[in-house]
Amino acid sequence: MKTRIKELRARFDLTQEQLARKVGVRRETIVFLEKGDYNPSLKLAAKVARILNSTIEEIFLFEDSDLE
Amino acid sequence: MTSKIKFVTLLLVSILIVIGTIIFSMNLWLLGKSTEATILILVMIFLVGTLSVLLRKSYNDLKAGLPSGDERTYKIRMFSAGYAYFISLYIWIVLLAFHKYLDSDDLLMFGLLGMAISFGVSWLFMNNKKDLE
Repeated sequence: MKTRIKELRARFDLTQEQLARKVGVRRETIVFLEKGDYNPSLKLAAKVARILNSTIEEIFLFEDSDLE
Repeated sequence: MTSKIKFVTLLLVSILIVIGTIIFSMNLWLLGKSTEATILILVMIFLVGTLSVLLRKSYNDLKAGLPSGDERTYKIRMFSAGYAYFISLYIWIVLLAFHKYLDSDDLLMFGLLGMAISFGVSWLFMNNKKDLE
């Protein structure tokens, strides 16, 4: 899984800590999300998407191999 | 557990460890067991050193207004507890095989220590695992 969190976070001029505070998670979770090393729940994905003013599909990018 | 409760709990545990170790070491010293007292103080320094790292992290979280846990930490804890449970079953089976050579107190101590260590190892493994779902 790839994510565009880092790119969108930069667009909104947010640090990882600021985004974590807005979403209500730990900073480490944002780090893992950005690297695509953590598959979030639908609720968390929706929260991140809402804060970054995007849709879940625009932020979390899945290739066919990721869905197998 | 909120960040504030976590910070206060860690602080209290650290203070209790220091006070308890000092009292226990003084008793050992008075009984002439200076080597044991020194080892105990060294263990205490190691424990408090580890706790101080956690305490500092917890304080930074509290100051930044970040939660002490989220869905990822809960998942890690849940998975770690599950793995630790299965590992500890094997630990107890191995310990039962050696029950003739160990006292029941030692057996219990090793079993509990094994459970704690297996949880710690599982937690470290899960915390660094990629693609955690």
